Amino acid sequence: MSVPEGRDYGSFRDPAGHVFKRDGTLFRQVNSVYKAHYERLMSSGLYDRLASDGLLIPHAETDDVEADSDKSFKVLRPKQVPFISYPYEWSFSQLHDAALLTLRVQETALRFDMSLKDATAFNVQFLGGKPVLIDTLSFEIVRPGEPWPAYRQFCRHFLAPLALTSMVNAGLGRLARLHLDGIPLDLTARLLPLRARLRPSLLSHIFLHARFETWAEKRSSRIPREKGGSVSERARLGILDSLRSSVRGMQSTPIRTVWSEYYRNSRYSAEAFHEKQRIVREFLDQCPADKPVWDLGANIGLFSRMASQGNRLTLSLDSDPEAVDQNYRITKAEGAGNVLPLLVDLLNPSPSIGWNGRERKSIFDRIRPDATVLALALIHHLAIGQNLDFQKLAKFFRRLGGHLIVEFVPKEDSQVRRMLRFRDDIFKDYHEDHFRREFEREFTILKKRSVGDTGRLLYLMQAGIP
Amino acid sequence: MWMRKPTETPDDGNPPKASGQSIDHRDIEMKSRYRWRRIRFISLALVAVALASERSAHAYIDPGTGSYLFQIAVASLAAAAFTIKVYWRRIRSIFRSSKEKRKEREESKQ
Repeated sequence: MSVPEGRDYGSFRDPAGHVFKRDGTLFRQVNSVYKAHYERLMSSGLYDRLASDGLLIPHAETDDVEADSDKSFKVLRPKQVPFISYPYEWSFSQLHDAALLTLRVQETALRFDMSLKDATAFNVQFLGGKPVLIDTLSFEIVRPGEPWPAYRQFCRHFLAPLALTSMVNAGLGRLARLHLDGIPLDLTARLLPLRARLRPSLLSHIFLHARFETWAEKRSSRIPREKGGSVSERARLGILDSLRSSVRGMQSTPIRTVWSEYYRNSRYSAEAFHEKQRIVREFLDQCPADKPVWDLGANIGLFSRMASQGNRLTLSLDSDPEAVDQNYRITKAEGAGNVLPLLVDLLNPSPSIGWNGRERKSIFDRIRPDATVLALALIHHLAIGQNLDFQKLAKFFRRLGGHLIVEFVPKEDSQVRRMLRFRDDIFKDYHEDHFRREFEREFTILKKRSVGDTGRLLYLMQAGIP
Repeated sequence: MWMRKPTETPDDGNPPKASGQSIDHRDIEMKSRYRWRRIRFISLALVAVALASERSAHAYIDPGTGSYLFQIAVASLAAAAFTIKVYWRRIRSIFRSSKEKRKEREESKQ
């Protein structure tokens, strides 16, 4: 393999440098070709401004670590991001905040005569519940009169998915998984409804922009290679301002999806629900405080926020875009910075994709496999809804975590009955004894509690068998 | 759309002359075609001159030819709109309370 050991597989495009891992710590190498830009970033006051405003990840220069290649000028040790998420795992509001962050960074950079040379959504991560730019090498000294080179990338990575999720369908953000360099604008223009053209900012940045792209592509051989043209400073600010209006003008879809209404329509009585919260809290207290938590099927993240107390990173996964969006908005409002809501379908989790199939990692390969797994009101959806037997489920949970808090929902439960109403009951093995037997092949049961009079059971298990 | 076909009656509105009718038609058609070609040539040349300035793109990502040209095309409009907006905000701020101004500042920070 030509990629050196420890070098991040997704970090190969920018000649200015790359990231690599050594002894579990992430470092960023700055190459000599980027020296002038890096020095300007640091000496102009731009870095200080961005870092103090929480817009750019802070870093320290280090001499203790040997560079990853001979092109190196400096090695940086950035503040570590505990979990790298990808834009196709974000809900509308997460991408919305990431877009506004990118524009604010660019606006600040222009004041210091620098500019973002790229505007990919992959350069933004959520740290402590807030979006932050992680690519310190994204800045370059501005070349007067030149158009913004990252303009197209911004439109494809942010504007297109935001417009599609807000105006067409909340699930369309997943298109970004198919198009890793952003959703093509001609595709976006085709998918957007007619009324999108009535918004001047979308009309220009998506529709006319797409037309220009198509026009230029057809005539690429006739357009001179030397490009320049002139975009004044005021025009640059004008385009930026228009992009911001465009982003601000978009709202998440008001349509209530099934899951975001789940708690409101829940068949749990208030007492039973409080009982469930009390038991889960008790179980969480017995799980390692320094290990992250996977909350699978987290809905709007009620239990995720409970799990995150005590500084525990909690990945709050759900496959419903509206539920994830609500989760993010509530989490943000409550300042629960350790919760990271993610749009992930357990039946189709983010795979390892991109160049060589390794550029963007599978969601399960981005964290150590010793987390605490929270699987509340989930088992019946996987076992009965998706025909996954207990053995497969036990192995799956074992792969993720060292501890497991799992809720067993019996067949007599109204939710399960509803799921079986129009189907043959082919689930003869769906009962507690079989559940226990299969899970005890992978885990040791530490505790069991019944949730009020619901018939539902909560188990605390630890990986491994005695 | 641009190359409108010559109508059956010449521009002066007189009925077509029996002799030389086809020559007149061809003449008008040729003239219009040449005019269109000239306009197209001049505009393409202008775009080419505008583009072929001393600078070349240095971006490590492909900024996209269309995206580049689009920004150049909308630059003046964006600058004008931005100028109007800035002045409009200034005018509006004269009539606004300090509380509203503070709120606006906070919003712009988000």
